[in-house]
Amino acid sequence: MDIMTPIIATNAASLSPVALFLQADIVVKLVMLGLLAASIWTWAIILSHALKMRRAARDCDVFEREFDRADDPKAFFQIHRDSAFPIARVFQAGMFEWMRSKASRNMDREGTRQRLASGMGSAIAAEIDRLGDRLNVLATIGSVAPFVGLFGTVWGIMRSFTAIASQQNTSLSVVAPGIAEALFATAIGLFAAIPAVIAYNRFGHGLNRMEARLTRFADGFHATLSRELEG
Amino acid sequence: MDRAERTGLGFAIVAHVLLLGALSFSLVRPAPKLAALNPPIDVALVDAKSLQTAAPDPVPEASGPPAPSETPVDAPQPVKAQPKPAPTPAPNKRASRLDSSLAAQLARAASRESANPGTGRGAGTSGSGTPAAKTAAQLEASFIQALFSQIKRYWRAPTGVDAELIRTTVDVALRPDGSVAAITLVSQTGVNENNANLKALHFERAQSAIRRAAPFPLPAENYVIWQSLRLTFDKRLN
Repeated sequence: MDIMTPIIATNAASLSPVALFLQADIVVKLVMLGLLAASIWTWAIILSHALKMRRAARDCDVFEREFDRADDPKAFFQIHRDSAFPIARVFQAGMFEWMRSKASRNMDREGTRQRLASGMGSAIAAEIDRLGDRLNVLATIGSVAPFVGLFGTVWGIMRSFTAIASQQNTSLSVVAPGIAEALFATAIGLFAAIPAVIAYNRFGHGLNRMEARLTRFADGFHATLSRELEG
Repeated sequence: MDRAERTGLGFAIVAHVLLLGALSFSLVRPAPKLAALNPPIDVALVDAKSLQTAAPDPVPEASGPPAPSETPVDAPQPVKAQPKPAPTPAPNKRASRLDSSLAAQLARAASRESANPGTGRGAGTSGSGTPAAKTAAQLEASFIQALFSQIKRYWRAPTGVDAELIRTTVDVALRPDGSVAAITLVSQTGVNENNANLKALHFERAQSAIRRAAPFPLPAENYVIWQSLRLTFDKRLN
């Protein structure tokens, strides 16, 4: 009974994550710390990306409404010359190309159309790249964190098996705490990975929609400028 | 790192700290359940102890020859002689003698006791009367030991989760020829939700072990004592 009591005492505390962490082996501790950092990083990226995307979408709404109302692209360009949000950058790229082509003496209409299209296309690609900068981190965490957690669990269970061997006691109260602390590593791994995978898929979808929206705007703007070239 | 990223990182850290705190404080409660699993072990230890304290008493005496010590001393003889013969079979039997020799010893011990009734009666009447009762109890204990040593080779305890916690107590009614008349279940302890499905099997195995080990060659003179014996079956059966 004297041997049993301390095990039960640690058992009582071991259900809290902090106690589980403190009981664990150094390797498992490192795994847990790494996974906790990964989880924090994941959520930081999720929150910041959600904020960025929301602001980008709102800016797009406002910009498209104003652009529809504006009669003269050049006057509109003067307002948005220094705007730094995605759809404005695409507009600026189109306008720069248009003004440069207009400035040359013998203008090649077909070449100007192609340059406009490729200039705005590359601006769109650059904006989407900038927005989706951190999403590869989510993909990495989502696919690697469960394995890292599993590594911690395997290591912890190996350790508790050696503990069984050395104590020559297979009772559940000897085995259980070690296995619980080992499984906690997998739990943190999944805790970090699940939101990362969900967010990666959702944000990938959001980025596709944003790209489609920018492309639609660029096509419309390109059509407007092409008409002006003919006129 | 722009403003949105800083905001996201701050929120993420705060949320993780809150979650850790919540888990640390709300999950400590279910612990007492674990502590409640142990009391059955206590009961088992106490029971094992009582059986053992009955046995060690006769062991040193059984090793020496009883006859010479009995004859020279007159005064302590009755008191000493009475508890002695009865329990001697128990440890000997446990030392894996054959059943036939064991029955013969029991018979010898009983006949020795009945052969000098004068000293026995004298002690019983001159003393407080407790020695006679003690002898009956010790005889009964030795008969139970005899039964167990015979049953042991037929006893297969059921296996399973917490199966070793079950202890089945039965009353065995015996006929004068040593065959089994009836087996009744008295009680079962150590049954919890894990091993509840094993308790019927435990009783069944105990019954079949007793029936297969019968008949029991016990001395006919003491039939009054062993016509009904209470046996407790646990995993090891001693």
